[in-house]
Amino acid sequence: MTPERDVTRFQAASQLRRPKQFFRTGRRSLRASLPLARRLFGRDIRARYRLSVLGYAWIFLPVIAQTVIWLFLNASNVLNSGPTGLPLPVFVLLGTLLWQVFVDAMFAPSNQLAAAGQMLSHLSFPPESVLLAGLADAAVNSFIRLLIAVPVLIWYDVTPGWGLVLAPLGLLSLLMLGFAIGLAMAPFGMLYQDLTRLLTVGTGFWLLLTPVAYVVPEVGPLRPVVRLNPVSPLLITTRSWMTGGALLPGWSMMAVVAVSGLVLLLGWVVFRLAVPHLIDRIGV
Amino acid sequence: MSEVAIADPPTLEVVGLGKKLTSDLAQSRRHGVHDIWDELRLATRPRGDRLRPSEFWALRDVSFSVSPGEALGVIGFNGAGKSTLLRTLHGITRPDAGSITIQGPHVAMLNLGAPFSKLLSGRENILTAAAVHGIKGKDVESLVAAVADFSGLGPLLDAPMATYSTGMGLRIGYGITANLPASLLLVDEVIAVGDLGFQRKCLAHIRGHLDRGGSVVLVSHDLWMIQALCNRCLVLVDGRIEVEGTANHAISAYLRRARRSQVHTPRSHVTADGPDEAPAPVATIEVTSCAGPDGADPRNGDDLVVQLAANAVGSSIAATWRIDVLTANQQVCLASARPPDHLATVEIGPGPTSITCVMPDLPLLPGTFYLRAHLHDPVSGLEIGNPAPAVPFEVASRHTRLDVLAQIPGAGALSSIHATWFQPGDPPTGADASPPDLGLDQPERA
Repeated sequence: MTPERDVTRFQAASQLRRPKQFFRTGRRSLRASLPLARRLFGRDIRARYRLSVLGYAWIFLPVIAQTVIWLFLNASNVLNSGPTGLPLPVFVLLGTLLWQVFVDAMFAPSNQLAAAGQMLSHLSFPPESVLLAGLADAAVNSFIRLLIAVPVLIWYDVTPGWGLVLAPLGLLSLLMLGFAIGLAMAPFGMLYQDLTRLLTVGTGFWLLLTPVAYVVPEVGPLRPVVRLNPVSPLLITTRSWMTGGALLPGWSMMAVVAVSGLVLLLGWVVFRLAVPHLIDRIGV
Repeated sequence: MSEVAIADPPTLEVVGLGKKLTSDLAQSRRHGVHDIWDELRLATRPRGDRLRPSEFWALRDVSFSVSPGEALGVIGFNGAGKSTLLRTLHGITRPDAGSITIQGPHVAMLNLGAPFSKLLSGRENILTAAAVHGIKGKDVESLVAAVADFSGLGPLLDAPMATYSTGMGLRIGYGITANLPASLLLVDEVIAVGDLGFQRKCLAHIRGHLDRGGSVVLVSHDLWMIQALCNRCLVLVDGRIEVEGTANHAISAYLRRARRSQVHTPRSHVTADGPDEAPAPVATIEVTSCAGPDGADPRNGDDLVVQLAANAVGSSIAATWRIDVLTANQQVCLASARPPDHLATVEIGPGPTSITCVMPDLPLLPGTFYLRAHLHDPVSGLEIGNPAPAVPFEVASRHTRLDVLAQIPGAGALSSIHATWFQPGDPPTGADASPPDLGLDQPERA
């Protein structure tokens, strides 16, 4: 007796014409991608620092450098952070760490796809695994980096209180927002490098328009811009959770989380449909 | 429900497969965005048969099927669409027309090093590859053991892959793929890169897979391998199936086509390839024919009849002919003896001057060889003809090259000569004894 066999069929018609099958394959692919993502993540972490003397210190170094520069600017009265309600080093360090969570997650999809070209064009495997490995990398790096905030909080005698329980949710929301934006751009960034370049350049300006090292000003042209920035509510709320501030998230934060969830889902559908076409276009 | 006995469906069935690619980079990206949009707007047959700017059919109207236990070879020139075919069969890229149906799991050997990190050890890389192919739990350990065994790397398995030779990486890659469950195996030119021991292991594995009722699609430029493994073979030309038949039939057609395209390729006969200071050629050479006495492919042991023609550029000159026979990798394996005195120096005029050279008792074993003719200045010995392109010809036999080699220790020989064999005490058996039974067409000797 021959065992029950799965039949694979490839056709020219859009995969979305059979939505049931599309989402079933997608769900299966997503599930299969989890163990692979773990393996790829481990592979990348191990391989990344094998050729470096400072090794894992590279997880911390950029954030420390950025914080020192903000503090230096503030001490030189070039930057006026406003009434932070917290010791300035704590405020700036946490802001920088949280911003980095968002940025790492946002760049993960395009960086991962660019690195996985050979694999994608020669192997058949759940492509989500590459993205998830990147997301895991961003998440783990962020959480390890946050450890440097602990001695700083203790030193300045800042107690997080119950907010600490909510803080992981805040981190997740930042990861999700960054990853959703990155995922939506990744397929097109693979075709047109302009997009990735734009993102790289834009991130520098975006940082300046985000209340990382200053408090949202009460008046002036900056206020509406900062308030429209989707990162602002997530970053402000998470920082306040980590430093014993208000516990209730604002409506804007919930809206941002909901919208980024939606973008994530749509981004995933587009990504699944786009992968074979990307492989055709990036060459072997 | 009544039980109906149906024959096993083919493992792989390809119907009217078409795939478009784009030759221009900027256009290609633009088309890529449109293609993704087509997916989103639920197009059934995006753009049909219409080609967009700089698009071409990499595959067109390709239909075939492969049954359980059957191996199909795919041969063709570079750029014929062989790799695109395998990548489409494996689902890495999507067809633009037609359909592909595969029964059971399929595994491809397209680039055996794809998931590997050079900085990690062979063992770590096997674990990655196992995850790529969705292998879990206990199966992972048995895969590592099987690959360690197949690769024969021993303690080197824990050294970083950057320290491996190409062949060692290949063994690991093949070992992984060979140990995956599959009913269809797609193999792209990966075996020929390894050493002889590796090739033997691969052949044994593929034969075993076929014996167990598996199917294989094998893309290779190694015609011996195709001949050795495949029941049937396709010749792809510009994305279309030009010939489909037995391996021997397809290979002969392919070789005939290779010869024709080489002879018909227009070449500039006046420009010299050499450095600027090289003397301009004073004569052009043409190999008018190169065949057996009956005009068909020469056979081992037959005469090889070569007809040459030359034209002097400008006034007529005196010259000496020479012929080389080259192997497929362009090494000279036979050279003609100097022509007899009365033909050692011939007059080459501006009109075509022809000459015939017969190489008797061709000692070459069946296979493809190349013939190149030269003209030399009789006094200085300098080459004065332009370097004419080498002309391919096939040495034929009733038997395939592989059959012949299978009987000869030291496979890979190019030529055979009529040797004499005897043991101590035996009367010497010489040329009058019957020739060794190699299945070759040995001519009768006086």
